[in-house]
Amino acid sequence: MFRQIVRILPVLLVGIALVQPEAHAQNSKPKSNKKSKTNASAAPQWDASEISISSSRVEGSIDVRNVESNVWDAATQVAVPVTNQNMVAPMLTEPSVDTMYVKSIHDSSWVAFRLQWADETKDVTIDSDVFCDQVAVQLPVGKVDLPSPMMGHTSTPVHIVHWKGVWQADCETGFRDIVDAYPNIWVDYYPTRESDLDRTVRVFAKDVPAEMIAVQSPNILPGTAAHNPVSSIKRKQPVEEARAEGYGTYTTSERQLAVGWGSWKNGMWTVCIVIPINNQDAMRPTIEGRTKVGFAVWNGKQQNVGSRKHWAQWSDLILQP
Amino acid sequence: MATVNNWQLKREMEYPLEDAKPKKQIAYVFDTNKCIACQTCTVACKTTWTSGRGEETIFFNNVETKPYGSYPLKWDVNLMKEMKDQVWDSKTGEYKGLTVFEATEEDGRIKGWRPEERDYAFPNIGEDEVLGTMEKGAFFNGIHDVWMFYLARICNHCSYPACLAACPRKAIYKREEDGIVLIDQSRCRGYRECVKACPYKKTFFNMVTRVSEKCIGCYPLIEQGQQPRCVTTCIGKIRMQGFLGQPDQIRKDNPLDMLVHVKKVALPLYPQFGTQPNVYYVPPIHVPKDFLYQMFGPNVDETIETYKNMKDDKELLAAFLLFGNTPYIIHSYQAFDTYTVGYNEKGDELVRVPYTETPFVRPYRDEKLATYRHNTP
Ligand code: SF4
Ligand code: SF4
Repeated sequence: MFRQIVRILPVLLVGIALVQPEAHAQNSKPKSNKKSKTNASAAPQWDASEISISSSRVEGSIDVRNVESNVWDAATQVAVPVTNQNMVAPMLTEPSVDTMYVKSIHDSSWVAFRLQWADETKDVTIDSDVFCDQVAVQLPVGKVDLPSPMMGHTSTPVHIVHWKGVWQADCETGFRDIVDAYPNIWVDYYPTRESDLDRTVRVFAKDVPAEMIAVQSPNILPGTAAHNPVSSIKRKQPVEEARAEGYGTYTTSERQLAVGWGSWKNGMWTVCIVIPINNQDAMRPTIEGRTKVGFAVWNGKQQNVGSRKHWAQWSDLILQP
Repeated sequence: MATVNNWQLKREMEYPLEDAKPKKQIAYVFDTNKCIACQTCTVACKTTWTSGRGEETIFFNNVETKPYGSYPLKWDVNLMKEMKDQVWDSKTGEYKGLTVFEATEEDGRIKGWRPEERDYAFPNIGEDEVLGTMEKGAFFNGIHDVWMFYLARICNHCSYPACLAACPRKAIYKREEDGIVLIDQSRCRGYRECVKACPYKKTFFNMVTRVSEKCIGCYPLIEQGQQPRCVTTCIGKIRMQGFLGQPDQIRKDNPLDMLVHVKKVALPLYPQFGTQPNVYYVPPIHVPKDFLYQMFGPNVDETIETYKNMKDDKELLAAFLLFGNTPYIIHSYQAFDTYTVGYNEKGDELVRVPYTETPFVRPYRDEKLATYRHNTP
């Protein structure tokens, strides 16, 4: 639960050039422009933000899970262009998203983002050849140098809050197990069933006793036994906080504070991500006054995964007093 | 890209990472002529490592009937179709085509393809099916008109693993102590780049843990000086696991060096892919050669010749007779007059096998039990 707002303070409009009229964004889904295959025009200039996202200060509380809450009404929507990641392998060669529509509000303790993008298909499952929709918010850690918008660098780390469709489904309908994907599956034998002789009783991954996974038989669910956050069968939030210091260094943070929720409707994802505004913990981003924010988005249907994604340059993030 | 030497191709090749040779390299010899497709190896592996949720269609070990069998579906055909001409220089034996590292994808990635979920659904497809029809009056002249053979497959713990090179998170590593290639289960994020890149399709995505898994070479056994499950359980005694030396550091008393480097009686599977795989196969002797050249490279003829003459080559026979006769890893062996002996790393005797089994005939009547022995059909 995200506690915020009662009264909405006056909002200052910034980044006029890219601001979408409020009515347009609410009533119709943002139109897809021509898809660019290269991002030559978007060569990264780390501090050359052309886009400002104004985060309005609000008071009171909202339910983060109500992504259509009218708490967002007063916030200014900004269109952020995204391009296919084609700087480092593995690249995304076929882009399928070109714009993200971003709103932000804060209450001095938490900053919230509402991210919207057009996606014709809701992809919230995964399988060997099935990928899910995802979105991420990126913030610089530390105040001296601005990190690379492409996941930072050794001396200039970034903080990432990552939302995944499959995690959303886990939170909404429970951890997705093999029988959810293949309802008619029959398996002669799972070692986790040894103790219950009634083989008509289905034992789900989430019901496998923790000590069985960890000690007795770590190879029953190897990723889970190895404490891989991706393999968590007891997920409570569809978002995950992580730190990165360059490509391939994404590392889940020990402290998970961010919350989020996503909803797909009429060819459009709306995802809310709420992050604590922190100014003590050096491992976390300090979000105050004017800072930077970056975004990435993945289209599961197009097999986007990992660095095969769409990304945005740094935008200014201005927390209104 | 770095330039590395691939001795199986008799040339240098490009590889995305620097060459880092392990202290020892795990290797296997599989004799396809002895495999009966009983799938004991498959089941031994399955019950040991992949019986959990999400692993239902994962087989670290599988045995497929060639030419029609393949798991995952068309794993080899699909890749060969995508690769350009795979030609070998008939004089020098050098590979003239491109490897998966050199014949890259449009985005510069290792040449590969990712199977669909359905491709894992038929591990037994084509089992025992033969190619060709029997003409009236046909007779056997050394090569069967109608043929098939069993191909047992595991991860090759390649010297230049494509899976490892493809992982953008460096979640895959090759162990320095034994060359076993592993996916770090705590680091993998399930991007499936390895699944796409491994030419042998021996990394698998677990849809429950949402990360990829692969054959672990039974490393807990290896660490105790024992051979992997699929090797020790093999009914046909077709397998031997050991450590293979570099071609310039051959030890003639190492049975694997003897079979692979000295006698050259076992060949890598699809060496043209370029990963320098470490499972070596004795090719089937009665299968049309063209099929075998494609699968095991240009040295098939010599290999089969050597294999057929094994009875006159005591050194070779002695190495083969050690297959499946001890659960422990044989580091060295010696051919004596009437028997062969395998030793462990310390030089202790592990097993002693006679070249010819002494026949033992049991009397028709068992005096102790006061009964007749007879075969009951
Ligand atoms: S066979 Fe495939 S999974 Fe095994 S080491 Fe080689 S490339 Fe990697
Ligand atoms: S156990 Fe041995 S003989 Fe049986 S299928 Fe496996 S490799 Fe072939």
